[in-house]
Amino acid sequence: MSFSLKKSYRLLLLLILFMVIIGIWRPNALLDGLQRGSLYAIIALPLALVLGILGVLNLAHGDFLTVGFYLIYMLYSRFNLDPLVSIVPAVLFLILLSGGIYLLTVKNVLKDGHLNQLLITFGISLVLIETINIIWTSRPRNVYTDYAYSAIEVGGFRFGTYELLYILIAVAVLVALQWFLKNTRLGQATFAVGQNPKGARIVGINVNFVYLFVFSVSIGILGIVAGFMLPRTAIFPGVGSPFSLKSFALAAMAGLGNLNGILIAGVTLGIGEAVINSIPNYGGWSDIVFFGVLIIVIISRSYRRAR
Amino acid sequence: MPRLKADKILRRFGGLIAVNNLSFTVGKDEILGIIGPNGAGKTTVINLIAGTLPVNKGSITFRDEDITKYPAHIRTQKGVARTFQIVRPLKDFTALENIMVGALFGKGNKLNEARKKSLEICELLKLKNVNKNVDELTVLELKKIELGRALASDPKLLFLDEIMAGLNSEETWELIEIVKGVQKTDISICVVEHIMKVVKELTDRVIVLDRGQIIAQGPYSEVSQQQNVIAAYLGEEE
Amino acid sequence: MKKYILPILLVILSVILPFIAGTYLLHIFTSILVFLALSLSWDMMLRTGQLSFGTAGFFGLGAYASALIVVKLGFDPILSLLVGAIFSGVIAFFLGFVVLRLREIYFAITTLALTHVFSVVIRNLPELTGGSSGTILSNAIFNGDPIKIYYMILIITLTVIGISEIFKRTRIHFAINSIRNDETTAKSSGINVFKYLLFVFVVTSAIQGLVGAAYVQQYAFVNPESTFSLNFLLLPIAMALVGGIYSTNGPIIGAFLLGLIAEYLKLQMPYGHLIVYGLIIVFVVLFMPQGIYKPIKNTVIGIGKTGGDINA
Repeated sequence: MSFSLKKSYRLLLLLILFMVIIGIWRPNALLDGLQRGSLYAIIALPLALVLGILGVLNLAHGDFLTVGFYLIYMLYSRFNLDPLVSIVPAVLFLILLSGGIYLLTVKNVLKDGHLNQLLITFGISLVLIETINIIWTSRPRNVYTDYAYSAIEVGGFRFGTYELLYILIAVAVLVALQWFLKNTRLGQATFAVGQNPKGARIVGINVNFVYLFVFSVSIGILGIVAGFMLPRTAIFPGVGSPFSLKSFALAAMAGLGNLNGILIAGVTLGIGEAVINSIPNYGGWSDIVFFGVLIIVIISRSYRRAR
Repeated sequence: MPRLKADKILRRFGGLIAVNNLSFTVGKDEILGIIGPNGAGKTTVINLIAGTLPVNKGSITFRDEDITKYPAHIRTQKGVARTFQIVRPLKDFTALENIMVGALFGKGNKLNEARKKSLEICELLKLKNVNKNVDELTVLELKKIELGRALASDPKLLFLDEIMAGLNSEETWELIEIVKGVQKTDISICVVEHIMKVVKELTDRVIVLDRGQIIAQGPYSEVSQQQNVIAAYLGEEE
Repeated sequence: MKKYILPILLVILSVILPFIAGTYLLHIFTSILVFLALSLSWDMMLRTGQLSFGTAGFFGLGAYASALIVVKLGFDPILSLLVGAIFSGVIAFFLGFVVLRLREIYFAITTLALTHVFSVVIRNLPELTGGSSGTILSNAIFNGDPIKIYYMILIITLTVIGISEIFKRTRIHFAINSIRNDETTAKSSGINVFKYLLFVFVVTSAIQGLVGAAYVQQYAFVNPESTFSLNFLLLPIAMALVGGIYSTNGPIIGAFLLGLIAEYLKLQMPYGHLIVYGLIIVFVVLFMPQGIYKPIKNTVIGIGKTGGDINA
């Protein structure tokens, strides 16, 4: 894949215009959408990275997030550890877990066709969900922290401060990722493997290591997301699954390798969902936003390619 | 009327013009050679006539019918068959079944007719291991399958895209004899070749392509002496 | 003639099963047959090279069409099975014009997304569908008689097996196998690729709709969550993989094997017995990409060859 690190100015401008209109019409939905969208984007970024560099669509992506949730939940309920503190062990654990799973399974199907790749990650997804089911049952779980519900009031308009963090984290992760890809040796190697794995191998890059690194660190990033999300999210074994498909929707919308585009796409769809959600009696239709957009994007791309 | 008439066909790939306003004909009972240096657009011409790629401009007339807009499978059913430069066998099939596909869908035969006809073709091609899976076959056998599948569709015009490439001299002669035999059954043939020995032996007439245009045409013995043809080749190899 | 003996014995056995098996066993076999039919339908689509994740979606559509036409319009339940099949088939026909342009992960993901779209749409039309709480039918088909229900499912499944065999033995086999192997070769051999893809997509979706309809008439209940459950996608895939893809016998063997194992495990562990399916999928993809049917068949033929009584 080719990373386009150039700023997507035109899209960004459109997004800002869109946000202003929504902000005037439904300010709550704008805020809600921004937060959701940022979350979607951070979760989608690692999926897009794995898809772009390994060429594997990881259908177990969202379920690794679930694993992160439950690990942090366990640290909270056993040792009363704050979820934000637990991010460190969660990230480490996810890196080890996904690295192990990669070496045992995904690595062996990289040269196979898409059929085996999809099926194997599909199987992994099921194993993760059901393992959680066996250990914790399907009962929903919660973590309560005071700070997650703090709010401020500005000019009679009251909103939660905690979720605003999501936006900052999304930007921080994106910036860090781009900095890494541009300025470190390993990042440049990753970049090169994404562009041309054969060429990269010839110039002496350890492609297998890059794959392992990208896969496990991508999943590790989900540990950060899990820590920040948990205080505001009720979890159950299937809680992460929808994020796999939603993340792919964003990656497809942004175009392969366009990391900035993922944040833009995430925020756009997040706001779209929030707006529909805020319409009385029609809130349920908001679930269709992602799937609808996903289908439309994929199909319109296929028409454009055919020409 | 010639069997095939290509009139000012043009094909672009992005900014590159691969085939540029090319016009040529293939007569009944003719073996036409298409030669030219690498990247001259030879395979693209086959792709355009067989319908594997659409033309951007121009028209293609086959047996007095305009086939420009037809998709590849219809063209095959009408009688335009081709082989691929890099053999593309159907790997879950045996040799015989590969050939049957052409008879079933190109010609529209029933299953038992197709089997019978394909066996006849195997005999014509001197293909022995008809029930072996394609991954157990030699290069020559794979080339024969490629040719057999095309023949099974009962073509009136057959494109052979570098079918001799990768064969030793003995195998090449065997295949040349087969192709000569095929031509006697009212099939016009178009060969794209790099091996000049083959072109010289097989063709009645050649067209020389360079950068998507015809730079010379006529019998091989004449064309091979022309200065511009030699220059085009010299620019490329040796 | 020899090779027909085993299938004929199995059919006879399945026909007399209600007289020799108790209610519980009959129930298990009914449910295995349901998944067998789904598994075969998924495999038939896969034979064209297209990995569909839409099995649960068309299953659910058929289920809803059948349930609603009985509840709202008072249709005969048996007739409603056909309605379920036709409804899924027609939807697949129109969607096919768009989604069958897609290949590989794009086709797979779009069919999965469509499943979600179907379920969201149904959940949000409460007047028609009962929304997220679903719709209850006043009565199960045949008043819930397990023997009649078993025969109904058996007839459906045998029909599907028949269709699968037709797909294997006629020119359809040559067409879809060619398309899976090499689309360009298929086209230049005269195969109308889109026509065959659409045909298989419609037929397999109609089968899924039919099975969904039969399932809902058996349980007299639909709701978005359970009717569009990914189990109707996952289990059939696992069954086909275990038995061996691209064949009729593979999914049959896989369905019985996994169906019985799952039933046993369900009793042993109430939570998470599905983990076995996940492990099986991973294991099969990694170590037995051909499933268990082909290796067994090859061994048997190998033995036969040395005995000299099978002519290749």
